[in-house]
Amino acid sequence: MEGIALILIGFFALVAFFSANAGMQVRQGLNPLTGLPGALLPPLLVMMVFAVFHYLLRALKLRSEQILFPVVCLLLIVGLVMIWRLRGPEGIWQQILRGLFPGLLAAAFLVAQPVWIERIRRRAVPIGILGLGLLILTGIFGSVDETGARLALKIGPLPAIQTSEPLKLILIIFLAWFIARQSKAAESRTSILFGRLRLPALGHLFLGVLSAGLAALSLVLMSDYGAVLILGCISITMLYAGFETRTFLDIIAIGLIMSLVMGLVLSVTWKIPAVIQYRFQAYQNPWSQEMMMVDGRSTGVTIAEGPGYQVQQAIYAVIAGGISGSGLGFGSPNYVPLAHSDFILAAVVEELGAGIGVAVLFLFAVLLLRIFRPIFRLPPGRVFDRLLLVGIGIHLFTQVFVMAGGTLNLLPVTGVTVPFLSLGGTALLTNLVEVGLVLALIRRQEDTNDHV
Amino acid sequence: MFDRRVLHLARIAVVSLVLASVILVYWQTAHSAALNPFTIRPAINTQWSNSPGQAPAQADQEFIAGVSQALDLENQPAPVVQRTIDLLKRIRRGAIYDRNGRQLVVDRQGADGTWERFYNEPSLAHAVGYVSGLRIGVTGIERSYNTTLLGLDRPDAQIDQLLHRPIQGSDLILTIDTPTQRLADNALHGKQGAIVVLDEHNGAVLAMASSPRFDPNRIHEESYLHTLLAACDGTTPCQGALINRASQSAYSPGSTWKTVSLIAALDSGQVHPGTIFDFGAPVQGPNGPYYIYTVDGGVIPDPNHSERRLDLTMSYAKSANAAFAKIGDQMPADILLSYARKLGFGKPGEVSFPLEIEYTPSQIAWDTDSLYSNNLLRAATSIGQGEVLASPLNMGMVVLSVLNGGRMPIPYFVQSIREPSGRIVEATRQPGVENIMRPQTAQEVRDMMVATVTRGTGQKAAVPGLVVGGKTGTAQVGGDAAPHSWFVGFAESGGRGVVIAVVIENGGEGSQAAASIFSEIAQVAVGRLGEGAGLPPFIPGGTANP
Repeated sequence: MEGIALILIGFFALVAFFSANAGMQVRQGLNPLTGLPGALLPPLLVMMVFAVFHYLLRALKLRSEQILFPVVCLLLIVGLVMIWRLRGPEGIWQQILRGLFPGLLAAAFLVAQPVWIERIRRRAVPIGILGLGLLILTGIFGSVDETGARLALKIGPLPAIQTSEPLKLILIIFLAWFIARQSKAAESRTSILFGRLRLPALGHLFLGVLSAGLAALSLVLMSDYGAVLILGCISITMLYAGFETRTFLDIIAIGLIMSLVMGLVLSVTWKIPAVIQYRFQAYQNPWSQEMMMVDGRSTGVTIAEGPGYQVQQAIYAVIAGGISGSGLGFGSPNYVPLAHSDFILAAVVEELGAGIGVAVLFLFAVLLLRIFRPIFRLPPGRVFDRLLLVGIGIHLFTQVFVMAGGTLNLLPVTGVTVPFLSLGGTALLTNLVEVGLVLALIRRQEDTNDHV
Repeated sequence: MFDRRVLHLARIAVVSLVLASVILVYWQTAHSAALNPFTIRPAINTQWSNSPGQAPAQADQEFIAGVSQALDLENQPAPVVQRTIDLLKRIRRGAIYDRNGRQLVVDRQGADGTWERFYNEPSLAHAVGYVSGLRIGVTGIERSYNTTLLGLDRPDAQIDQLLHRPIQGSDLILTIDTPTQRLADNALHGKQGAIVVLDEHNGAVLAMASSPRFDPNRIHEESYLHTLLAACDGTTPCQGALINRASQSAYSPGSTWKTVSLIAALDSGQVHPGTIFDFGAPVQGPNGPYYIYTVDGGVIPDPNHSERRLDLTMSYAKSANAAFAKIGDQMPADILLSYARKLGFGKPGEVSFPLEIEYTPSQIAWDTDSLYSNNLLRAATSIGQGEVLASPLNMGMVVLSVLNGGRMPIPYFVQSIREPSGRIVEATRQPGVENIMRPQTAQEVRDMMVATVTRGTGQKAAVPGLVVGGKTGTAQVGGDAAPHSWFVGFAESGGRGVVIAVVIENGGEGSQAAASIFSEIAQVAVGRLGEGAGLPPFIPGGTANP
């Protein structure tokens, strides 16, 4: 099943790269076959790596999950062909060498050695401290990108690392560990305080403060609101799933505390960051000819020229695509700022059409459900494993939804990468490690079932 | 509990992704028209005024604004502009040929593979128009046939677009006859004015010249535009080189408008060709005796003839103001207005025609209500003064209706469209205006126009061997300026003929300057009618660069 799917994906990859190459050459008035070997090398190489990974899964007798990996492969191919079309060989080799290969290697290692999940769980505290350290280091020494966000840490001659990406995984691991511990403790405690509020709710409060503080810290240090949004979503959903509360009172309490802490942080910096102010203005009407306002003062730039510009470009790219798309190489997705990373969905819809665009969203939905599936099979006692799956699933989903929403003006634009599609080595590496974790958990669960 | 909450989360996530898909489809379906290339420019609703006091700089400035804004393009979202230009630069816009197959306008490919427009016949700058730097139609035929020239109205071009093949626009074959056009252009050399030459049977435009003119190949150069507008500083009369004086002008038509009064009076039965007018005793003036017509205390002078009594035919032929002032005075305003409206004259902007070029509707008065109450105005209107303003094209159309027995064909330029496949499609013709007058009236008016050339004021317009008829006009423009010189008439031979309208600004008597130019052009134009219909050689594939 997985093998057949991979063969089909292989064909798809070759056709996609062939037509992308042909389209780009024809657009320049050249023979469509020009430069074909260079165009077919990346898909062939990547498909070989996929095949190796597939045989590894077979050798490890991972039988119950035949869909997750092919879906990831298909998304990777769509992403790679768009990156190749938008960024040429330089972009695609960066993506393959810095993200895809190391990511699959790490995933293979985790699947082969599922016991590492247990080791990770036991070292959750040092990992959490490491994450905090990374965050602080990036906040102080990180390089500032063109949007003013401090996201990348460059150490010596090594390529820059987008520290905010692994940080999300570290938060998932830490929260899973913490909630699992709290709920274990909850089983032994039955005393009720203040009527229906159970005692472990204090743990919620502590956690709420902690994660809100973490989010706010990264907000201040990194000016990375996409990361804040995703960290927030991960924290809330994991708390929601992990804690057995009888009432919504706890949730409300968490919400209140979190907003309080956020409010405190914002009042320390004394204002809502300018980026958030004008992104909301652009969200209300990207075409508006009114002036973009920061702190109630006009900036002299209209919303349409300023923050609305990328939303307009993304929407028009989507409109230009039509149902079948302009064809690879024939559209003008380069008008969309960051078409190769944050706004890659716009480029996909423009050149491959709404059909493929919807299919990509459908694939992400399938992916999410396949990641959630083992949750129902794992024994209820394995809270850490189950929470890990919730966190990973929600992480992937929020990334996709925030960017799809931003592209379609369904949500205010927040810069995050689209998993498996966007150009970005660290982000892809992180997402592939997450896939490795999911597959490793499935393998552990299979083993458990075998033994039982 | 845990399981149920994970199910909740999964449900929320899937619903969100479905929502995103729905929004995606929503943008594509509800807004898919947003990316269609623009086809139409702002209406350039300016006119050339004949009053020297008015500074037409305004009109030219608006015109220039129309150029720079190229169809409100500035108001469009940036992505629409970028993507429209992207598309248009890759389309080979159709060429334009005259009736003999001579290439007037062609697209040439630049070094970067994009197409640029080149105009071979600067004398047609006004009628053919030009495309803006963004390759979107701005004026003239380039504007009205923009979609055809871009090929976007052809299904096969849409398939090409789908398959990413280069799109080629359709060619236009005009009714213009280049030798006649050049003759008209030469006749206007050094003067300001306009000439229109129409086929008398169907209104096909054989020539349309306006002077001064501009070079459409240089219109995008800012310095060139500045030179064109140099005189338009508001102190000196503006050249108005960008205005098409043939169709966008608002000249006082002078006596040429008597044809309209004549049609109304004859067709309504108010007069007949034999009606005798007695002008009474002449008044002595510094230049000899002249007749007057007095109405409501106002005086309309009639210095055009020496006879005390004239019948209607000779009153028209000799352009007797007193006769036509009387006709107008006695005519009910309703009748005058109903004929005038059918012929294109109403309140400002009231009556227009489906023409292929920019057209400023003619007017009979600023406010038609005043024609009911003000007898003097109605009398002055009947001799073409008062508040009447007209373009040479409209005056030519009046003659067309006379020659076609009361039916006025709408003048047109595009006789056929040639698709890149070689298929030739007849252009859609606008239906003419029917039942303007009875055929008998038309015949009587025609005879009087001939009498004007044989026995009246238009004798200079005569051409040996041709039947020629027409009407002179000498439009007073006020002040010390010389009057505008008009001649509107027809010339025919053996069932073929042309209608020619000539106006020369400050050219003096209509019986002199304009009539001579008419004769000069008629001589050639009628002979040229047999020519043409030769189609340009078809270049397969459309890759040749002439």
